[in-house]
Amino acid sequence: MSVKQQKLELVCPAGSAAMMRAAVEAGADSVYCGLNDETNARNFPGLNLDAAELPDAVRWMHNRGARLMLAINTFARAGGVAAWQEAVDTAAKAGVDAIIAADIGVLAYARDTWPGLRLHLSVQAAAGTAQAIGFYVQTYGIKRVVLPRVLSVEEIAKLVRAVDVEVEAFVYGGLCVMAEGRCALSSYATPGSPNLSGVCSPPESVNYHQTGASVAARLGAFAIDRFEPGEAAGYPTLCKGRFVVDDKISHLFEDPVSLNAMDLLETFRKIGVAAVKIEGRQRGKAYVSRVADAFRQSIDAIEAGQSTAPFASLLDGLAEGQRETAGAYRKTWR
Amino acid sequence: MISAIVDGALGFAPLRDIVFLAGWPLEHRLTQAVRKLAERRPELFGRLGRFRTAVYILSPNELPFAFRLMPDATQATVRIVPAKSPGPSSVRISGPLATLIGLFDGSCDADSSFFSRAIVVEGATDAAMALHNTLEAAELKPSDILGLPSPLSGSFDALTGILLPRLAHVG
Repeated sequence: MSVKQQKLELVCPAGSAAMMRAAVEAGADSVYCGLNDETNARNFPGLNLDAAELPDAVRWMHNRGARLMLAINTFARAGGVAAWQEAVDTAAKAGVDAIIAADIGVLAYARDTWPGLRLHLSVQAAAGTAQAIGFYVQTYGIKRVVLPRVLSVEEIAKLVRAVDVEVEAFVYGGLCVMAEGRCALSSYATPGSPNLSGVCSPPESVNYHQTGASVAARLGAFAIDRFEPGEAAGYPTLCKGRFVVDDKISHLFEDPVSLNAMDLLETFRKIGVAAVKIEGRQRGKAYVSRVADAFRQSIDAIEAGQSTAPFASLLDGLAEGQRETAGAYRKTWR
Repeated sequence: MISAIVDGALGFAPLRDIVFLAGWPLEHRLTQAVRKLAERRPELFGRLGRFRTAVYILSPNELPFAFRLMPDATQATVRIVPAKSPGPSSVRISGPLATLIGLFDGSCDADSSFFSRAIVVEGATDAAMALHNTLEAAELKPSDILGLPSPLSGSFDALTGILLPRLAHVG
């Protein structure tokens, strides 16, 4: 396939209509939201849109030339698929620009029931090969794939040439342990699962205890970390906990660190990536305003043939663990 | 003098009494502000779900007192309590005053404040998250939090818009 270079579409997260407006006002081209139930992978208390809010949110976006995508990206429960089907119906009736889904049952339902509804393949599907992506294109007619965060830039370049579908890549925000859509760690320690109920480390299972000057984090029955004074904290997930192995304390699975691929934007544009995505529907208006502004200015700078370097500092202090990485995009360990 | 009188009259620790007496007009104003907000925007309190009856202790590091909030819509209450003995609660959120106000009006990113250890959350994390997400959706201004009448609100919000970011940096 030939590579089509185009201006990168900036896709930003929104956990509320207020956050959606903040994202667009800061420069987002598109925003992705979820409904306030288990059909999306950020099913946290008080977060997300009510189904009744969605039509107004879509109208607001369209009036500003922006697009709204609805994430219906958890895996439908056997014997209880109604919530996922209703979410697809709600999205289609509200006139969203696309739904983002991973479950083949959800994709099949959307394809058959709403033939005009644009389908994007969620990162939760973990489709990182031309064959896997080709299957979703041919079978469900997906128009865009959100790549799992396990590929190097070189691998993405080859993939873009090998598939006939838009490619979207994460460029900022939280990282998982690179088994997206297949992680059972949270389910091991808590009643919730990111893939099925939409919650990794459900907050009712998270507790922090101040002991003297240090803070201990517990997830369900497990103590998973302790932060000393001045030490940066991360999300309370098992994958980012610290454990003792062979008498050594370490982040056994993954360091608490955020993805930041701002300095790869120009490369992504050159290799034909269509859209870049910001993680963090659970974060809020202040976060999305700053990140969308930084990436908006960076993308515009690239279009003008300028460097993105002046905008790196706009993201200071936002990262998990106060540290950033280019992750697998600059894979050096294989 | 006040503490001696109160001490003798009620038999409580002096600091606690001063906080109690000084806090009454403020807690009355804050309680009325939350209840009026519930009348104006009932959908916000729907977001809280079962956490409407949770008890939140919001404790600014710089102050000897904390705010004890039960955000139960038109039955909501805000009490001023001693920071060191605030009584039982669902969750306690501590941090610099400017940061806590920033969390209320959405100008401050809660996760960044948590990562940097500027704020400390103890107790029911789900209750804290529900309140945070509700406030995020609410688009409140500092004048809404204090329940200021509209003639004052514009100037007050403009002033806090200038002062709070500076205080946050100092803090």
